[in-house]
Amino acid sequence: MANYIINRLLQLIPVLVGVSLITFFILNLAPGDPAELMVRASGMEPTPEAVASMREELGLNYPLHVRYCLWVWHALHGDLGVSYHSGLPVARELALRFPATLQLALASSLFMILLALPAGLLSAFYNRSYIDHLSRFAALLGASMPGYWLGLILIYIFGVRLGLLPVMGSGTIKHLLLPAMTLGFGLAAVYARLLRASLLEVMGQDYIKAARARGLRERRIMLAYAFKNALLPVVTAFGMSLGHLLGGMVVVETIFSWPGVGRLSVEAIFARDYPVLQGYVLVMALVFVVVNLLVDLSYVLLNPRLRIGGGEKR
Amino acid sequence: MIVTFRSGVRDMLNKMAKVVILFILAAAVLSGCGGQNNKSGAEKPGEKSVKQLNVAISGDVNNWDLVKFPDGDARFVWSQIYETLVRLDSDLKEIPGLAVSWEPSDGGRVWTFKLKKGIKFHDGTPFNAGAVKYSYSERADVIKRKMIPITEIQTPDDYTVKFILSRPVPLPSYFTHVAWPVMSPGSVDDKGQFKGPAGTGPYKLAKHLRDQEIVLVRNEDYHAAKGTLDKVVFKVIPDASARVMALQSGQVDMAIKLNESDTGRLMNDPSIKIYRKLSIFTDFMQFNTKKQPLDDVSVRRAIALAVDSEKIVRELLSGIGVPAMGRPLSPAMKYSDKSLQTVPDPQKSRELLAAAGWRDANGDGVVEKNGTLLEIKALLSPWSPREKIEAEALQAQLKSVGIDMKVQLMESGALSAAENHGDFDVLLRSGYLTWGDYPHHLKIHTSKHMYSHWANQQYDNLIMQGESASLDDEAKKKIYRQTQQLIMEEVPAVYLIHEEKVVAARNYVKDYQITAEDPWLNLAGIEIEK
Repeated sequence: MANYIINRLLQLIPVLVGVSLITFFILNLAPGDPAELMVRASGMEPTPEAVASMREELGLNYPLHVRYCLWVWHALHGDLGVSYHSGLPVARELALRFPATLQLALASSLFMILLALPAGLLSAFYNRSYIDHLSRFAALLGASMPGYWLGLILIYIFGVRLGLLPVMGSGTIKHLLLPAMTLGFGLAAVYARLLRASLLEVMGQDYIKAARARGLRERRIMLAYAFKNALLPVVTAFGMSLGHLLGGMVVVETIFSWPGVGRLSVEAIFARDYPVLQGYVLVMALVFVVVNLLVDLSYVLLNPRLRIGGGEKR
Repeated sequence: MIVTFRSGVRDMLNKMAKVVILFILAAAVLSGCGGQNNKSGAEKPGEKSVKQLNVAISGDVNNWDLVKFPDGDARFVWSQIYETLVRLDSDLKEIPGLAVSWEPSDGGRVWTFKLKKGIKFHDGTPFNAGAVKYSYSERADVIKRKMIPITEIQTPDDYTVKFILSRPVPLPSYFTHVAWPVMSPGSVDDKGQFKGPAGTGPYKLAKHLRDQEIVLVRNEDYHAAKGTLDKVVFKVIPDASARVMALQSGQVDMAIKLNESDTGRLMNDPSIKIYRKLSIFTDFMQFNTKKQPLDDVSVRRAIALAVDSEKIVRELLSGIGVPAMGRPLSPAMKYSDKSLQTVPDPQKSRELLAAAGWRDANGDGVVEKNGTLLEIKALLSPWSPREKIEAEALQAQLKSVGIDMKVQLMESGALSAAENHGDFDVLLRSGYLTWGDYPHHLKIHTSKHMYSHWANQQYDNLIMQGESASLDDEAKKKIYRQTQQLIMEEVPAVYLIHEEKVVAARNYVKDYQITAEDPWLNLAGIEIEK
């Protein structure tokens, strides 16, 4: 097991190198010169002298490969560079915002679980009944409502009309509710259907028939036997979703003025803030790998047959 | 057997419960670490006597030091903390700021400023000639990028500063710019690291939470009439609709940068008061005159005649904004001339096109010449909802005279690359080199300018004459009238709408005076009466 984890973590190295290399060169392919954009942002004329002095200051006067090597060298020493836009260290910019994103990602996942688990279970148990249809309708609604729209509607109802919840900012559980609901609802729609489909598939398998033959009650069969196995595909998909959530939820962060990494990254894209983007992509690659590792490890909890390395060899 | 089932179910439920509890704990812990900031809300009963104004802005302060330009809404916050040598009054006339007087010599190449005495920065450092010299040293962005051509700064005594320039420019006008204030030389430590903002303004920084809020408190040692508020909290709300809802729900008391459609709606809300003031910015469509078909002045004139900006303001922008009728300078600016206007005339526009050989032979509604359709590509950035509305309206108005304008939204990087390569026919923009009441903006049409896509020797000469400090105001007025006339005749650009600055506030905010001065947010004398 320990070997497996170490192995997986070692695989991180080529992933990170590849990801950083690709982003570095693709970013530089995008039209628009960051030095010129920064001079333009000042409302002043981007004269050749002004742009040249800015380029030199940002270290953009070196050739591309030199810049990449320099970046790697500094990154290996724990220095991700300085944001062009704010002049602050990139690591600090990311560290300031990541907790907010993590908090929102976990809260929306929780909301999703609270909604999707009962909905999935009930609609599988009462397959083709009105509960199933209702849940399908809710899922269709949840999946087709765009996040920004739902967010604004929720703000309008709970913030402006009822005055129950704050419409913006972060800090307390109250602030967390609306953005978590906005994100969680869309996710729950997908996962409720996924869980239902997966449950129904498992319920058709032989060992379930055997359990039925023993006269066990359907509810017990579903919860005790089928549920755990049906969770496998759901957990796999959830790993990806969590990664995406942690990558930042730009639209929701913007609407709810949530100070997360999603907004940071998008602003960095528009400002061609290369160091911030490089740092962001690196951290996100790390997050994806780690989350997927955790998902793989969680399989073991769900299904002992998948235990790695252990057990007798055949 | 049943026992094992039950234990199985129980086991699983236990595990699930553990996962759920873990999630809740993690969320709670994180909400704790993200949230040291909730003291700013006016909810605390003990703080009732604190006079606090919450203002919604669209972006955070990217930077506090003059080594980098404060972009976007950062400048609204800077304007409370920092002050400039020269200020503008509500009519945009230059008045003393940190300087009491100034005068040019040597044909505008030397400017001498006398400074106000007895002022201290927020960090206790005294304000004097040394601080001015420090602020306009090589450290400063504006000097480093050679935006102001200062070659030397002399300090004959503690309260006199002499700027030696390489070419004459109206220096006091540059010194009204909110991004070029005077900062305390104590802002940096021995290693050259920036410690924090220390200006001379009516409010000073108390707390800055990135991407969330900026808390300012009153500067008790302010050198003029003290601030009436104990606290000003700027809340960063990027989405315009969310800013409106924050205002409606009372989470903020004031909001800036609102969409015209939202403003129109808020006008009907009895708890909200809308403040409007004609600003110095004007939206315009700039032509690429170096490329067919807009290298032909008849086509450009035809476009100018086809545009009805009055109709756009009235029908699409809730009446917010003043139709420019082709006039380059907003009436809020010096040397603006209201008598200059192009009256829309689609019939004449069609005739001009026909005379230039553009006719609709096949009846598809688009004119053509030598088999080429009159198609033009307009680029704009997606950031301004107003520009987008204008672009769509212009598209329809030009269509009516047989010009097919394609509209393309581009993010700023791609847009500036397209501009540099000349890969466009029309750019839709607003402002540009616009601050204070001085028409710096007109420079963008001079042939050597980076933003220029037109070349006219007569125009270049006029602009050069206008810059000279030896001219009196009457002579300048004449020159700038001529330059504007030339723009309207030769049409390197069609000026569309003079922007109206809009600030919305809850009606318990009293005595607020909106100024045309942008991006200064005038909070002087403001009261809150809940």
